[in-house]
Amino acid sequence: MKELSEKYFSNTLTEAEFQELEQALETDAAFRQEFYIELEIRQTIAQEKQHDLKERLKKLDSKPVPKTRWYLYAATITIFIAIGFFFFNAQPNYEEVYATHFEAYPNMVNLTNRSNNSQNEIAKEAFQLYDSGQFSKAAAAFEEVYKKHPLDYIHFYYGVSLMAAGNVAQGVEVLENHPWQENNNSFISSSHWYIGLGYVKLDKIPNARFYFKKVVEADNNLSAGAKEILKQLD
Amino acid sequence: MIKDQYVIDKLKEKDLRTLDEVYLTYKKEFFLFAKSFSLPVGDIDDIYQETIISLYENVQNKKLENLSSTLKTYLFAIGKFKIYKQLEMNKRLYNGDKVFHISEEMQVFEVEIEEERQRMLKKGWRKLGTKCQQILELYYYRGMVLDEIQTELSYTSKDVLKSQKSRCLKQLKELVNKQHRL
Repeated sequence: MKELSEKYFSNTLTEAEFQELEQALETDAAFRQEFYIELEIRQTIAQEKQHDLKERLKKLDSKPVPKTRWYLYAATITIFIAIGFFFFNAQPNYEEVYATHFEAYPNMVNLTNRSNNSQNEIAKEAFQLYDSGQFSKAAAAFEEVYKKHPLDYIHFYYGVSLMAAGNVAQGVEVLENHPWQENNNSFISSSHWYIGLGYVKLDKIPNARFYFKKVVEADNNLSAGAKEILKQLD
Repeated sequence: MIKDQYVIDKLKEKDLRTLDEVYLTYKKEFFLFAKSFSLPVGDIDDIYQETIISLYENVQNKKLENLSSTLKTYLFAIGKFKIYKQLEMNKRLYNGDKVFHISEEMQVFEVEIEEERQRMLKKGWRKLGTKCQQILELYYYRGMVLDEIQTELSYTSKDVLKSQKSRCLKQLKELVNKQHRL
């Protein structure tokens, strides 16, 4: 009996032995009592040990996680801050939303590392312009890069740079008419988010709502923010 | 499947970022699944977090080394057990008024612990000496057999360790029971 219990806690029971253990628990009251206490202890230790992990997971629900395409992510955050500032200053009603977004997106920007990624070399100059806030020049640079390398994320920056430079209508058009690859969900959502913001700026609230709803439906790290904005638009 | 096993291998290396990804990847689907049992959202949050933690623990204590199903199937099997536990739909065994929940599929027993009892167990555990905590943690939580613990903690003989472990267990029980009498 002792052996079965030892094997249970070291996870080495065979299927037959597990059944045997179940049987023993049914028939042997003393063993059942002892095993019960051992399980209580196991669960207590687990609870003590799990605390940090649980907190970590809880935080995931409110924070974005660096993804494999983290370089895209890092740059996106910069844009959030840039665009957020730009729009929400123009729309004082959204000050509160704006503040919330700032909190929700901690500064994880480490753009100097981006040059480590060879795929990004091609767009390095455009990114540098973007980083330094020269959005108009950045837009032109991204447009040029995109002609040679028609990559989704280059196009995305092209559109967003246009918006940040003040060409909101053109930026929205660029983002809206691009055939985003369907397998890249986080990307599509980011675009919808900007298109939505663009339409807010252009005072086309029904269109804005349409896109923010899509972001909410996508159920990702942007969804909560989109929900907030939708509330404000009502 | 190959990718799923890769995820497990990353978890073996204690790569918590991979765990984050797993958490986010299956969250939506798990919630849909759990909602079909009419559980309140707050409970689902807890259950899902505990499910992910169980996955991680199973990898760490070597209960799960190689997947024989997809990661999703495995994860949902853990989750289902936890949901069933909450709804009292599991196979159960009684020890007086105390309940064992059983999953033959996952080869798991879990007991129901009342809040007050849980508090006493925790208090007792915290009062236990570090040396005892170490032994009991390796045995009950890390899934080590006595031979492995002997090496890990440099005990001269298995018998010495064995009697030390019994003493620790007895001490812990006393620490918990003492609170009963207060």
